[in-house]
Amino acid sequence: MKRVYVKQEVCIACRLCEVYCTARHAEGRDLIGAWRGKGARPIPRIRVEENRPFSAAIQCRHCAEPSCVYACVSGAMRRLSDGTVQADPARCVGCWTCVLACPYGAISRGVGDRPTAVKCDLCPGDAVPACVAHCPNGALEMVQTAETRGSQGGVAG
Amino acid sequence: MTHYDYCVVGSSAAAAGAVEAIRSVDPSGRLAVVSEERVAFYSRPLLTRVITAGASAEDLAYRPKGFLEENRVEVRLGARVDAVDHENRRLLLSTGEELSYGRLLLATGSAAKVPPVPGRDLAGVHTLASLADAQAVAASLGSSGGSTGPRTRSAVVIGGGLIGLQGAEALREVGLEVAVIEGLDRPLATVLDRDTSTLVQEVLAANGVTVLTSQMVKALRANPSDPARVGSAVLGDGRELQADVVILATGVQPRTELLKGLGLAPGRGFPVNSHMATPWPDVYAAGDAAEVSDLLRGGARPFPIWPTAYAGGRVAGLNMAGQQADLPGQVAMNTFHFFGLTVASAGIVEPPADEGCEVLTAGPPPGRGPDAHHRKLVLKDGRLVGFVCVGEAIDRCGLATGLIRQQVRVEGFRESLLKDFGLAPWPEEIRSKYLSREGILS
Ligand SMILES: Cc1cc2nc3c(=O)[nH]c(=O)nc-3n(C[C@H](O)[C@H](O)[C@H](O)COP(=O)(O)OP(=O)(O)OC[C@H]3O[C@@H](n4cnc5c(N)ncnc54)[C@H](O)[C@@H]3O)c2cc1C
Repeated sequence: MKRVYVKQEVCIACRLCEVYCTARHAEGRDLIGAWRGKGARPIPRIRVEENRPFSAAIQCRHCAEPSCVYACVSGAMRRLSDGTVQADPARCVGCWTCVLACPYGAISRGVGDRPTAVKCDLCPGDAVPACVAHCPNGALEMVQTAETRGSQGGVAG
Repeated sequence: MTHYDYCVVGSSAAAAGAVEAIRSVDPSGRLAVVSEERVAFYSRPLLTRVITAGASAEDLAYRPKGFLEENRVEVRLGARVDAVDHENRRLLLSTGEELSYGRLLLATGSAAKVPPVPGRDLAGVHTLASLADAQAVAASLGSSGGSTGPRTRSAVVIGGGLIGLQGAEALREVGLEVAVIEGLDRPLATVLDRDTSTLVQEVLAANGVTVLTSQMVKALRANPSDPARVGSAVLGDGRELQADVVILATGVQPRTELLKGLGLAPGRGFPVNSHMATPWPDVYAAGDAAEVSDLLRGGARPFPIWPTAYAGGRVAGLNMAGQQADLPGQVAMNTFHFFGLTVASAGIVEPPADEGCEVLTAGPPPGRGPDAHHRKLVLKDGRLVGFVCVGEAIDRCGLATGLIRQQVRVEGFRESLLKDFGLAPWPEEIRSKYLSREGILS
């Protein structure tokens, strides 16, 4: 399973991960289109936090025991068989219970008439997520981990 | 008699958690789900969409088509389990069928309390607990004019809790005059703090839903031109309000009739340990029907919310399938949406004066309308034990829920929690744990 981890020692808070995440999730999947095109600009699914000298990019961890999935009342948030946690905009009702449940603060409220939950999807179909591919410092690392169910002990309820 | 390795009574949040957990461990054991409802695995919290948007059962589906087949669930719908013979490990169904089980989960949920108000049996008086209830409310509205005479114009909702207010908003959205009658001095008294519930009341009023507090309904009266149907509600002070439709929403109680032998006091849920096992061998319980441990106050009680039902069902399922799992102490959490106002809350939100809690607030006081950005934190012994966020202040509030659940000492960074939820201002050792590969959840 794919996971992205941040090396805070080398993050320089350039926010290119946010920029390229936005571009990757824009309709034409490109920078110019995302910023200057007609459609609404997607909100980045990764967020750089800064408090000098600390900085780090935060995104969904695709937890093995995902609180957001357990909390979701509509069934929009699911852990798929590939081990990723995905929000289905068609099923999301924008109740934000997932926002209240995610201990990493990694789920955002979308915008528009019918806003839905927005989070890292690990760029399905891409070998490497856009944030990792474009980090100039190697501060974002993609790691392949073994499948784990998670809970040998607790379940975050 | 058919034998199942696993039997689940109920087909809602806790049952879904159990089915998915069982199948993550045991792909082949025989698994039956029995529900008295006609539709399995739908989202109960979305029920008001049946009233506002004519939502169908499919619209409310909690899991995609194919969920039952993929998980090899043999489902019996429209079948009530009438008795559990735990000595012989058998279930007796209302259809006459008997099932035997290896392990049993009681995910029977809760039932709406029906207040003993005269006239509650009149047509047009409903609870709002199931799909059938919501469909009956929708049918009662007779918005087409129908054969029942004049259009439905006014509604009375008895009870100003979450379900009552959701019902009230839905009825208002479809154009009715709506009054909510609440016995306590504010709505949402058991789930929100006073300031925020007052704000909710104001937002409702501004949108045409009147909440009458410290008030009761003495009787429901028939409509003189259609004596089988409700026509008005008589309040404790003698006032009579027109009521073409009535929703009874005075709370829910755990459905524990299947373990009568345990001698449970009325209103109490099934007792379970941290594996969600009841005192009866191989009988588990989860969801609204079970009493689970309360992280912040100690002891056990029902947490009638979807997240606890799913998580408890999951823990039950893992244990039923032979794995060890424990449900951690639970923390109440809810989001509220009324006419564009958004509120999120968790834990203890209105601490009694004698509990030694400290309250911090930020932002304009609630009451400035839906855009107000307001945050309230409740601390005890250096730890966060509760919060309420209004409007945009809800962003990343899960970080605060996590601090409550993990009982992190927040003295060093508590002021930052009033401004913005984010890791940056937190102490290095906490931040690093969050950012490590192990993280804070498994
Ligand atoms: C209108 C409404 C809005 C809500 N909104 C929210 C919300 O926003 N957020 C939130 O967290 N929670 C909300 N809730 C609460 C949430 O829906 C419940 O906590 C959750 O559904 C509990 O799940 P459960 O699996 O314990 O049981 P339930 O959902 O209560 O389901 C139990 C099932 O078991 C069946 N059953 C019971 N006994 C038997 C028997 N003997 N034989 C066969 N079948 C049986 C019942 O018919 C039912 O289908 C809401 C509830 C309602 C009614």
